[in-house]
Amino acid sequence: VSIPNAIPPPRTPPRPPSVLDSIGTSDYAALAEVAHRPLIDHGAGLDATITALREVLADLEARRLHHDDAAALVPPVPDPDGQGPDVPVLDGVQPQGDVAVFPWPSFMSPHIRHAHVTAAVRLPAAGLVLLGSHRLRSGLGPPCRWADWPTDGLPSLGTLVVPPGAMCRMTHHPADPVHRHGELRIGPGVYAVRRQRRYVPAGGGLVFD
Amino acid sequence: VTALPLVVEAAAGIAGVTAMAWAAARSTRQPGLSPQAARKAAQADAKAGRWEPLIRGGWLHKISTSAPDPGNPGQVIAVFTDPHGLAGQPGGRVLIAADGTPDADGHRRLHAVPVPPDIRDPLEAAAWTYDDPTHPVRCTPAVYAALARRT
Repeated sequence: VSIPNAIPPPRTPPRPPSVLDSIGTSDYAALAEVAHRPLIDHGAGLDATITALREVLADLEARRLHHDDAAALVPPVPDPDGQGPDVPVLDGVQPQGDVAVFPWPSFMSPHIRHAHVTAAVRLPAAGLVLLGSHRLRSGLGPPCRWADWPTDGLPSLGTLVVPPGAMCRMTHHPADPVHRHGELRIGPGVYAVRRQRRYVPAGGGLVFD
Repeated sequence: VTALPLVVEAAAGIAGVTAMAWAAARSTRQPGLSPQAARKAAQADAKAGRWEPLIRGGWLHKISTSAPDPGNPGQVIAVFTDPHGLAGQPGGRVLIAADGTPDADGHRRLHAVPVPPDIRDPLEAAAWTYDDPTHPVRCTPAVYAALARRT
């Protein structure tokens, strides 16, 4: 019996399988399982151990995510606002005019951070408009989430949660389109979103843009 | 050399006219405008965000060096005093920074943000404007210096 060759041959030569193949970036259970698996098989001998370690190192090297490469790793995003395809996905501090995102590392006030992350709800599909002109919306992957900062009258606006594998876009839509700020693309992480303030002698003030 | 301050006014574009001055200050007045009219014009410029002519015209006085603006390649930030109160309180200090995104016509607007009177360092001033002392995540000069990208 001849079996038709239904599966086309792969275009690129297959890479040898690796222990890291089974995990996705958001699969923490699998990651933990792999992390606890012994890398060294004491019966296999030194050469096999060195080969296994080299393979893991090469894989980690190939997966290392540089900020500059991050934009190249995400699939192309529809660009209805015409802001250009070259917007990098970054996880650092990024201001867009008078609004800025600050990464909130997990070790920094973990209890307060945790409370805001668990309270965060999904961003509306149409986006969340901040200060009348800055729009936050999920750009890719799982939906991003948002929690308002509870105190009014402070520069802090809220907490943005970008889950692993996701990307959040911040676009700017001012009344006068001539003065539009470029788009931000925000990589996975937890961020404090804040507006710029200006000094007034009685105390802190805020900048409107 | 004159014994008393002398106001020199000259229309631009006259060939063969050279002015040399020692211990001089550029006037904040445009030639032909009364002080009141000049002040009104400056306030209108400030309200519309046209800071470049105001800085050129000497309405703000620079008190810091120009520091590179982190995340905004090719642009600088600096601290000025604002004796006429164009941005905030008269005699206060302002941070002058350039937009991260040029306007549609290619021009890059400058912004003036009032900062506390004890801040002279431009990086400290820029960090202050994005800080919130009541939030766990602070914006220190070191954090601002590591800014990834500004638009």
